[in-house]
Amino acid sequence: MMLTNQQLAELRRAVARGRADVPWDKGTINAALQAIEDAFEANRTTLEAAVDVSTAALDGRTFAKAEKAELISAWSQQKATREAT
Amino acid sequence: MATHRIPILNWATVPDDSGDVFIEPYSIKGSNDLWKRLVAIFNDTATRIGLHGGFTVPENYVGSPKIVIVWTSTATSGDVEYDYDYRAVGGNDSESLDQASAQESVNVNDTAPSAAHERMEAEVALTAGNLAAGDEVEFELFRDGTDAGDTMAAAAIVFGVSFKYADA
Repeated sequence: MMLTNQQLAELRRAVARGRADVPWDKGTINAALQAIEDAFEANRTTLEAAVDVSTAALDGRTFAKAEKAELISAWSQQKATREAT
Repeated sequence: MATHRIPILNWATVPDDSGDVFIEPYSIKGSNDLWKRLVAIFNDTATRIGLHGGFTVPENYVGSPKIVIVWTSTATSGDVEYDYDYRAVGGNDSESLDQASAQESVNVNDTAPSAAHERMEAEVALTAGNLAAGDEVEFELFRDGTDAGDTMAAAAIVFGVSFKYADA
């Protein structure tokens, strides 16, 4: 989906926070952030299928779509923290 | 004739209710944490955000009025768009201080510093005839994130805003 101007502004601020310098302008970082959004959405089905395969192999259970979204959200937040340190 | 410059951020200064304009110690954005003076932060947003204020036109004012914004940023790319809306009110029991519109709206676009935290000056001229010695000036200084010319992807850090003018 297309990120809104407000969403882009929030993401830009999150990236700029803590940086000593911000060497890109709005247009550049907006394009990068939209590309991340698009790439994630293009691979969401593959990602969810991988989760299903992993849990089905254990006990036949699969997570609901909303539950998988929660897992992905928690993982991506921790992943970002790990990569930032 | 001499040129003068007076600071116009004072006890009357207050950020709008956006939450994206605020006062904080410079050490929060600075790297060296030595200078902890207060600065006004204008966040990178998709909206028009501002800082309200007021000042009195000096008694020796004659003309050539300008607003000077001293600012910097951690950004080293892009431009920032400042708008300055104001109304000058004069007289004694003759003109309302509570009017519904600005007398004039001016704007200036300035490019991000070539290195983070370098001192920048953005200057914009006002209409000389709008102002007279002793007038009370009510103003709002904006960063206009809705303007296509505002392309800087970081906060603008405002150190001061001045009224520059010529005397006789």
